[in-house]
Amino acid sequence: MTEDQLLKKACRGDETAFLLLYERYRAGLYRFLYRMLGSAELAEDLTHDCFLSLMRQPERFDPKRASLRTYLYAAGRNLAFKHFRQTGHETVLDELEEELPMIDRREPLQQLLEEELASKVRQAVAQLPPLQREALILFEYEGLSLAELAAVVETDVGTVKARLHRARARLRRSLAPYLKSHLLLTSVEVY
Amino acid sequence: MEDRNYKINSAPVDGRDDEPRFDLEGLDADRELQSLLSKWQTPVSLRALDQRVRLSYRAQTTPHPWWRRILTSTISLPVPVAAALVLVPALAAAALLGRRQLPAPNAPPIIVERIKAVEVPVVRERVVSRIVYREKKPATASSSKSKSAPESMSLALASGENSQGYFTDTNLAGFQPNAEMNFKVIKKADKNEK
Repeated sequence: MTEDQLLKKACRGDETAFLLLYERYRAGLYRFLYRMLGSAELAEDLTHDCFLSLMRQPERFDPKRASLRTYLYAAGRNLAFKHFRQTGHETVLDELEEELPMIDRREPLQQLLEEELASKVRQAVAQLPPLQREALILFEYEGLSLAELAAVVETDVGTVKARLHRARARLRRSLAPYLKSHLLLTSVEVY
Repeated sequence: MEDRNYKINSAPVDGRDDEPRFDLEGLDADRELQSLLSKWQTPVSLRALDQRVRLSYRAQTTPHPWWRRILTSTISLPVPVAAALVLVPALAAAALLGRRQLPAPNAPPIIVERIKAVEVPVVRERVVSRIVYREKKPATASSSKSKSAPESMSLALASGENSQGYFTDTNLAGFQPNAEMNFKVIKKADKNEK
């Protein structure tokens, strides 16, 4: 059954069809929003709103233009940018700090270092400009192709490439102290 | 997924960054960065979200009775229209209340004229007019002549003066006799004629 048919059934009240669609895309959408916003609570809210708005106005999704995944990412992106405009800042850095997992001191050194690395990566990604951040998240973490990414952010592939390149360059600078050590760590693991 | 290789063969589009295109150093750096980025994982438990979305979906798709739909339905209005809908009745009510509380404007009082006829007895006094003739005092001849008539007419006036001292004030100034006169002879007088 195609996505369009599932969507029509879901809009008519078929909960099974809705759950099929929901479970297919909710994790990716949530991860994208969480990394964009830096808040689990906000990411849940916006993921919820994305799916419910799709049920409320299914005519907005045109299967000829893009896939449902692209549509949902685009809807989530729009909601995230709307949130940025309303709050006046582009990420919730304070919440990011609060959401750091508690480090169990009984864990081995390797886990401590990995948690620190994850924290530094989180901060480095959060400090990217929103357009570069969304490009990096959708490409590196969600595995969208350049064409899909361009469709989500409503621009051309060349612009997306430029944003990705700048985002990587900026991350390489901000994470420079951890790149060599990271390599060392992985080499230690290998050997 | 051809363009997935972009992360390895990355190249600046606008040429602003001077990153080499296909060098091994860049390739290693991309792989290293990718590996580092993968350290950031997101929370995996979405049970609360699943429950919430499911409940919202049921609430949204469950058909409600018509009266509930009327009571709970919402309509979106532009802000100016909504403001007008609130302000116009409020202003109208305020104007009505104000009109009731304020005293009546100073309109000219309506005076009803009642005409009451009152009969008052009026004593009409009888007016009696009487002509009193006053005797004229005799005046000196010189003064009377000079005032009353010219000298040529003094004889005629003098003859008209009666014994009681009255005279007819006749002034013949400017009198001219007719140039032609026709006489008519009447044979017998009418007996009724005076």
